[in-house]
Amino acid sequence: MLKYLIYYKVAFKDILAYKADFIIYIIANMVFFFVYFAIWKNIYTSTSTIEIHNYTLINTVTYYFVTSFIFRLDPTGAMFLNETVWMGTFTNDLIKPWSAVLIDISYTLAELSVRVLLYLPFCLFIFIVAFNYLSLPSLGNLVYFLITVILGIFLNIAFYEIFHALCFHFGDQEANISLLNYLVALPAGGLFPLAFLPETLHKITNVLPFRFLFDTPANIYLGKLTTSEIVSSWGQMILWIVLFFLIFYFIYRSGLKKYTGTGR
Amino acid sequence: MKKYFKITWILFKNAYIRDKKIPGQIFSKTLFNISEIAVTIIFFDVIFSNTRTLAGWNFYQVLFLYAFAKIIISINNGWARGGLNTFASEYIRRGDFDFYLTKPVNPMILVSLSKPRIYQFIAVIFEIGLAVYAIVAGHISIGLTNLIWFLILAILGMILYYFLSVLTVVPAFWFIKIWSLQDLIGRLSQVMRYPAGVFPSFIRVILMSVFPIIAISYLPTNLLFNQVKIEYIIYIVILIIIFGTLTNFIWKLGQRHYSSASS
Repeated sequence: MLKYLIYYKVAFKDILAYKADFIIYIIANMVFFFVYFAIWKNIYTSTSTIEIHNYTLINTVTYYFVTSFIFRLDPTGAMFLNETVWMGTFTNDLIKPWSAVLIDISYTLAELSVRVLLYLPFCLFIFIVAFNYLSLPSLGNLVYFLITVILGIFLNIAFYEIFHALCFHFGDQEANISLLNYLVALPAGGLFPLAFLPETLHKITNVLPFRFLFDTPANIYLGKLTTSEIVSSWGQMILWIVLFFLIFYFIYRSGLKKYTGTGR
Repeated sequence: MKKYFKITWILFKNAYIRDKKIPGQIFSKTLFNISEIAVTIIFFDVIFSNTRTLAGWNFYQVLFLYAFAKIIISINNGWARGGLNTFASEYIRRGDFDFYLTKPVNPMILVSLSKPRIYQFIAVIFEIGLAVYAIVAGHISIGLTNLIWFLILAILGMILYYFLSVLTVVPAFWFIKIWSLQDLIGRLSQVMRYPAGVFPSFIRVILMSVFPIIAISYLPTNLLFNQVKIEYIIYIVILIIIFGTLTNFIWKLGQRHYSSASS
């Protein structure tokens, strides 16, 4: 375990060396928050609406504030199994006395940590700018929110590792992963609260595991879920994580037998 | 001018040969573009189920604005973004910019043309279809004069968008390796799909003048739906002159800073 922790620390320092990159990336992504903020403020004020599907303007803006934070924890841009397998550099990890998968995950976690760390000042900036439209959670909800977000990271990693492992069998998956990442944002609640969807679509998203990535944690932050609903969500998330990791493991093990390490 | 057309033709032919070898990836990327349109329509549907207009624009007008913004973005992506992205992430760091610097053509244009993405033009077909659908389904009547001026402003808007794209990657001359610059214009383009009136006046002024990204889509579309305003046309022309000069100036400044050191 210690070697992975050391790898995590080294990766963290390595990634932190390119701070300017992350800062520009974060500033560029803040555009989304302010665009959505402007749109929903316009809708609520122009129609004199107090609530849309039980969301007040403050709830909606806070929802986007929270999801802007969770987006920083989206691991898809920080996972490299597909790339290393496709380029052949995966061999370097494979021949060393460690698990190549855990090393990949350690690096992903290190990158996410850097992103969160660098996002905190921008969080503060958003909070100051949109102070009148944001709400703070209770301490209990904040703790529940953080636990859900951490589980969400592993759920995301487990899900996308499946598609990374497909590289062993079908070649480069980068385009497919990008497509999937974009499509998942909608049923995950990354674009707007799922309650805003038409009823049929909303029912479909309730069956899928993706709602745990954005909608559930954001609603926990907003205090819209009871303790029993939160615990039930955690149980379901853990089940999905196990299921996705099992599928990934099966594809990964069979893929290793096919791996030639020649690269492209 | 003729040699630029010839270079474009050769590079497009190369791109076609390259893309033909990876049909799966091209299919996924095209599907990505179409999915983006579908997801945005769902989002607009959610918005307009709660309000009749957005800053005075109805569903079909906003849909047209979005389609028009996407057409400009996709054409630029197909033509110049691949080259500019590689410039931001690799050409300077690896010293590959030497190749472009030593040719008897404008390096900025050559870099921009260096990696065309033909599949982006497939998306343009869908986006034009969406724009036509918005006009027909929304029963939007358009005068011939409006249409002509709209097309002229659309071309000018495309040129302005190109200059802004270059401006976002030009810091690579000084920072050497900044991959995040690659998609900066893509992120900033989010604002192009909504009516300018949505944004607070201070932000609107910035996005219309300091970094005039909403002027590219909003002014031509506004002119198409409403009365032709000569001030819009003059304003876009002035913006192109200012940003064209500025882009060229900063690019040349960057070139002087370039030391060709590879690593």
